[in-house]
Amino acid sequence: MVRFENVGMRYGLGPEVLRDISFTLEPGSFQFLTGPSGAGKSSLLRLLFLGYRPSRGLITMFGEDVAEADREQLALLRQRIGVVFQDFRLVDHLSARENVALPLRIAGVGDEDILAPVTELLDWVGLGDKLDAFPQTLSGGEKQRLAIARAVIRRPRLLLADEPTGNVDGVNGRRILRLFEALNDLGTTILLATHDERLIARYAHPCMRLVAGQLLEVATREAAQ
Amino acid sequence: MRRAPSALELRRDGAARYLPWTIGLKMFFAALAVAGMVALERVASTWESGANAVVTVELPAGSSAAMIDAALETMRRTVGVASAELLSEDAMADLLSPWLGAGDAMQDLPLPVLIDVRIDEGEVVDWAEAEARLYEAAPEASLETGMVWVERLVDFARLGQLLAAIVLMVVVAVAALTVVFATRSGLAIHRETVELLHLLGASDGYLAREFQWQAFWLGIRGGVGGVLCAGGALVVIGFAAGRMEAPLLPNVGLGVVGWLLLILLPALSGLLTMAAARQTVLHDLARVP
Ligand SMILES: Nc1ncnc2c1ncn2[C@@H]1O[C@H](COP(=O)(O)OP(=O)(O)OP(=O)(O)O)[C@@H](O)[C@H]1O
Ligand SMILES: [Mg+2]
Repeated sequence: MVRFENVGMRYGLGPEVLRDISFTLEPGSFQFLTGPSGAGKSSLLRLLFLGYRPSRGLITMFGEDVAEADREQLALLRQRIGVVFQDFRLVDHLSARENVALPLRIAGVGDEDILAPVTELLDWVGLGDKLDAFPQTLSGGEKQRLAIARAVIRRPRLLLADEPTGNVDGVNGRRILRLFEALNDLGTTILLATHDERLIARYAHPCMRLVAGQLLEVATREAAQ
Repeated sequence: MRRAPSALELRRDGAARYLPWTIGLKMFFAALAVAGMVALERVASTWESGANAVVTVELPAGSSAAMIDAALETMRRTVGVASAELLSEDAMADLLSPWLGAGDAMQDLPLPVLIDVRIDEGEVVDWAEAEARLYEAAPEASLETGMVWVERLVDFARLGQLLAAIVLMVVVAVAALTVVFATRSGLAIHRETVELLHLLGASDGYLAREFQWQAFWLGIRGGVGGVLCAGGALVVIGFAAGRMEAPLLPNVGLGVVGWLLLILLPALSGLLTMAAARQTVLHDLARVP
C-alpha cells in the first residue's frame, strides 16, 4: 500500500525535518504514529497525502512511484486517500453538509447520490442536528468530527488522521476510534498520528515513533512494554 | 438548474463586481469596431460595384443628332447599365443655375451635350470596354465615370476597416488580459482553498472549471451591457447620418450580418473570458509544486 525508502524532507531551503524514513504500510493495517511535538508527524503525513514532495528517497503508493506521477495522476491518487488535518481545514462558508459533500463533488458524484450518505455519516458522528450549521458555529470537538466525516465520506483506501482525538473528550475519542476500526474492518488502511500515549496504550495496533525527524522504532505495543 | 455550492466563493470576489464593467466597456468598443468594419464593408463594396458612381457621357456642343444617338445606343447596350438618357435642357438649366442664374443666358452659350447613365443596382460594369466601344461609335464622346475618385474612396474605406480591425484586436487582447489578471488574483486570494481542493483530489481541470464558468457569466453580462450601449449609440448615429442625407454614403447601415454579429458578441465575449480564465488557471497551477 505505502512504502518509504530513505525518505528525507525539508521545507524550502530549511533544515531536513525528516531524515532517512523507511517503513511500509501493509494493506488493511492500522498504525499509530507518535512522537513529541515538532518531531515531524504532520510533515510525514503531508508526504503521505501528497501535499509535498520529498527532498530525497523513494515513495511508492498504491504501487506507483509518486515522483513519476503527473498532476492528473496525483489528483487520482489523492482521491483514494482521506485526510483528517490537524487544523481541520473546513471551508468556512459551506455548511456541515456541504463540507462533507465536497470530496464526493470533486470525485464527480452526482447530486442525487450525495445527500443520503452525507446525512447518514453526519448522523453517525453525532452531528445529525447540525447539517446546516457553518463551521464557525461549531465547537472544537464538533469541527473535529466534521473533519473526520469529510475524510471518510469517500471510503478511502488509506486514511491519514492527524490528532483526530485532540479536541474531544474520552467518550467521543473512543467513539472516533470505533469508527476508524469499523473502516479498518472494511479494508481501509489507517495511520493515526497522536501524542496521546494513553490512547495508543488502549489499542493493540502497532506504533511508529518519530523523534527529531527520525523514525526510532517500529514497535508493537508488546515491544513497547 | 441550481449550481451546487462551491468551495471557491468566486461570486463574492471583488472581480465579480468590477469585471462585468470593464469587460462591458471593452465590448462596447469592440461592438463599435465591428459595426464600423461591417458598415465600411458595405459602403466600400457599393462603391466598388459602381452602383453609386455618377457616370456621364459628354459630347461637344453642337454634336450631330446621329452622333448623340450612337452614344446613347452604345451606353444602353452596355451590360449593367439600366438607362442612358440625354440630359434635357431644363435639367441642364437646373444644374447650371447656381453659376449662371435663372434666365436666358444659357440660350446663347455653347453647352456640351450630357448623357446621364444609370447603373443597375449590384451590377459591375466594365467601363474600359464600354469606353472603347463608345470611341468607335462616337469618337468625340468622352466617358466620365469618376472611377479613379471612387477607387480612392474605397481605399479610404479599407483603411478605416483596417483601423477598426486593429482597435478590435487591441480591445480583445486587453479584455483577455484583464481576465488573466483577475483570475490570477482570484487564485492568490483563494490559495488556501485551492490547496485544500487539490488535497481532496481535485484536478487542475476541476479548479479551472470553477474559474472558467464564473468568468463566462461575467463575460456574458459585460458583453450584453456593452453591446446594448453600442447598439443604442449606433441607432443614434444611424439616425443622424440619415438626416444628413449624404449622397456619397449609400446604405450606411449594418445589414443583417452586422446586427447578427452584434447579437453574437456577448456570447463571444463570454467564450473569450472563459477561455482566458481557463488557460490562466491551468497555466498557473502547473507551476505549483
Ligand atoms: N510549513 C512549514 N514550513 C517550514 N517549517 C515547517 C513547516 N511546517 C512544519 N515545519 C517544521 O517542521 C518540523 C516538524 O513539524 P511538524 O508539524 O511535522 O511536527 P509535529 O510532529 O506534527 O508536531 P505537533 O505534534 O506539534 O503537531 C518543526 O520543526 C516545524 O517547525
Ligand atoms: Mg502535527
